Amino acid sequence: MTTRDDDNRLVPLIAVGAAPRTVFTVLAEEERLIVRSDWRSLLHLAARSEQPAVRHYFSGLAAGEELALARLAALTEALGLTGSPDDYRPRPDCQAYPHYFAWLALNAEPTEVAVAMTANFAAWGRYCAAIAKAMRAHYGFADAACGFFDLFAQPLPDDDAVAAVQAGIDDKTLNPARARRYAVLFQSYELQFWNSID
Amino acid sequence: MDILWTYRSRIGEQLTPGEEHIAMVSNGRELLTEIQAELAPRDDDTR
Repeated sequence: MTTRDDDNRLVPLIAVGAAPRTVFTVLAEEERLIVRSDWRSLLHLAARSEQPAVRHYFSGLAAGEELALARLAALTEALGLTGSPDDYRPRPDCQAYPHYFAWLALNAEPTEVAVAMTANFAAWGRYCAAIAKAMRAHYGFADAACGFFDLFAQPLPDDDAVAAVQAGIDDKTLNPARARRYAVLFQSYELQFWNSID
Repeated sequence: MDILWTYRSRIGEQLTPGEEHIAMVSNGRELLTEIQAELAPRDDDTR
């Protein structure tokens, strides 16, 4: 069975204020681990990339993770999370995505990962936009606490992504069948993340 | 890949569907659009 972006069960609940406020604690704790992992995965992909356009794409995204981590700190503060990320016991379903991403960073052709990541950005952006709006409307969070989701809610220009993918097509390192498989798995792991939080 | 295709077409061997797709894809934006469409929500979903 093919999964679709709308198979996300949590975000529609948050959007109408029907999810318990505790979901934000789980989201923040899990994201503290995910962002750190993804940041390193992106840097590793940049280092492995032969083509300048691909290296530029991944290093740009890595810089975004650094910013995301700073914004996440405002959310953890608003939630009163004072412990170290290492004190938290993560949910395996939530960490499947960054673990798979780390596998891709180690093993996959970077241009194929660029396809898979970019294909999933639209959904991630929609989820973040819905959450940022609901955090203010239904859960009473101040702007600073919403900054992490605000950051990803802004659609990114896809010029760098297209350039990276094109580089892989032009030098024939990109296999579309593998890229498609990575994209579908990425989507499944992301839905696994959202649907394991209640 | 070029060498593989050239060799296999020279000996008359048929490309696999995946290899044919590689040969057809030439535009990065089109590839992204195609895969994004596969992942996108269905318009006729009733949820």
